[in-house]
Amino acid sequence: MSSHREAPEISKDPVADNTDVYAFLSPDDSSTVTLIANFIPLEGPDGGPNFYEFGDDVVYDIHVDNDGDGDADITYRFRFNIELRNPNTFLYNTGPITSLNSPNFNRRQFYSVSMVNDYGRETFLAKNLACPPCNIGPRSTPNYETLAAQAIHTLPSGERVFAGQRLEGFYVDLGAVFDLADLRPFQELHLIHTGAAVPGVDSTKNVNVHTIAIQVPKHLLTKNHVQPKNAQDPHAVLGVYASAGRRRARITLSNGRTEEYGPWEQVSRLGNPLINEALIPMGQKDRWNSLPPSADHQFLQYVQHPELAKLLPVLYPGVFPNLAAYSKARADLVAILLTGLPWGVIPNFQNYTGPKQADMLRLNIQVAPAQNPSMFGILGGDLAGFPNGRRVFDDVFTIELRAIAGATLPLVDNTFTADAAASAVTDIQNPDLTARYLPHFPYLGTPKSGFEVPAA
Amino acid sequence: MLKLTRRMLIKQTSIGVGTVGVLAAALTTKTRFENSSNTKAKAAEESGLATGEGLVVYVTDSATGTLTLLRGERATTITDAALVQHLLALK
Repeated sequence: MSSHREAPEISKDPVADNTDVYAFLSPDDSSTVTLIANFIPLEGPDGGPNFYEFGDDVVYDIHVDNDGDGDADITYRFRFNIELRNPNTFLYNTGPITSLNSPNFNRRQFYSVSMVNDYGRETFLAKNLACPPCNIGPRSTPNYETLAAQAIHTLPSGERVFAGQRLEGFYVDLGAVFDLADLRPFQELHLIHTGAAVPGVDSTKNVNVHTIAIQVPKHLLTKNHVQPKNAQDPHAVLGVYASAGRRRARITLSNGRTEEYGPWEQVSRLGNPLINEALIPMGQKDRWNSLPPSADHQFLQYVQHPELAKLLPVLYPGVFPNLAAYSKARADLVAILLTGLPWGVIPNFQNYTGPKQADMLRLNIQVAPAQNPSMFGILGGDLAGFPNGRRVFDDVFTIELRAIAGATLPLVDNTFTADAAASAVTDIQNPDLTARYLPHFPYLGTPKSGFEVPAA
Repeated sequence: MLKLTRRMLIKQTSIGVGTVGVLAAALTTKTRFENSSNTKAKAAEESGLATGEGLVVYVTDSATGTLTLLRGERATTITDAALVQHLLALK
């Protein structure tokens, strides 16, 4: 998946598992940047009676690097706490929840937002902001979207925030992809034949996640708050990643409670989708999650020579002959994932942050939102889409799969001709994204309710 | 700076904790301070800890006598080979 359960240790710790990160110029207010970090993968909508919530013992960060060194210059930090109205019932809600302060809303979650600067100084921007409940069903959470809208808060410092359940925005055919890369449209050419090709399955269309979204005026994120002159201006590019941390020691007490001690240690990290998932080998994944992007040079070989690029020609004999014959380091992937694309590689575009190799989304905030966006982003001729940041609807799985298959290699190596299959390979052909997203903040769609989606 | 003397560390870690490697020394757990509120308050005051506040000490390298103290959101590393040997010898 994008980064759901992508490493052995974090797969056992869902509330700290950062599943997706998005960074894009807000399409309905291009003076702002929207940053989103999702956590808690594959929430079954009917997962009660203890419905999903953020971890009170986890610190959630969204980081912005505005000087290209791969370290955070601005961090928005989110801390959560639970308030239980009535500990003498097993019910999440004791009646319909029609407002965030409804007396029927038994287990409420609140959070604080702070900003940490590059010297580590933390300033609280707001406290006691309410989260919405999970979407349970029409009796418990009627008019859910109205209820959730009450949980969009405007901070005194100018940002808007939302933290709560949303519909999963990332779409992928999990079952096929994990079954030795059963890919379309040539799955019948797979090394292991399983019969006629069948349509792809959108495995995540009925699951939810927990979203932290913040919409920030652009000038609050640029170095020294400068206004970039144009898309070529180095100040126009922001590096974005997210992380989650836990205290170093956790003591399980005999009374059923726990205590935490010591500094916060990073247990999850995410910039570009699918990096730790599909490029970093199993034995390195947990360590990768603990490191900042500025330490990514040590993982360079896995980007330069991705295992998946070697597997594709093996799994699909004869389909990727040019890719199979290519043995040089993949400069295209290094540029896309670790440094950004310098000006001129693609006409009228750059998202280059300098030579420092660091896995981050890189958003050029001087590229206006597209009027007719392509889900294939820059591969589809849409400079406002991935890998220029990442929008909620970008088909990042297909984009990265095609890049790894060689579709982007001619950008940096004119001796290479991409295989025809490189620009066709995908998992779901023509996914139905109707009603998957919102046209406004927080952009990810209304979560499915348990009543609506009973267990399969 | 932690106001934690070696004597206090021994006092806090040598009671009711039989394992070596990870030592949880919360004053609210079963320690000899539990029987005397005056002693408990005095011990807390001496250590610089608020009454009821916990402290975790763990031996990170017994060969070099390195310990790490976790208190609040801070971590402090100290080296005291004699103390580590003392802890290792505890039954």
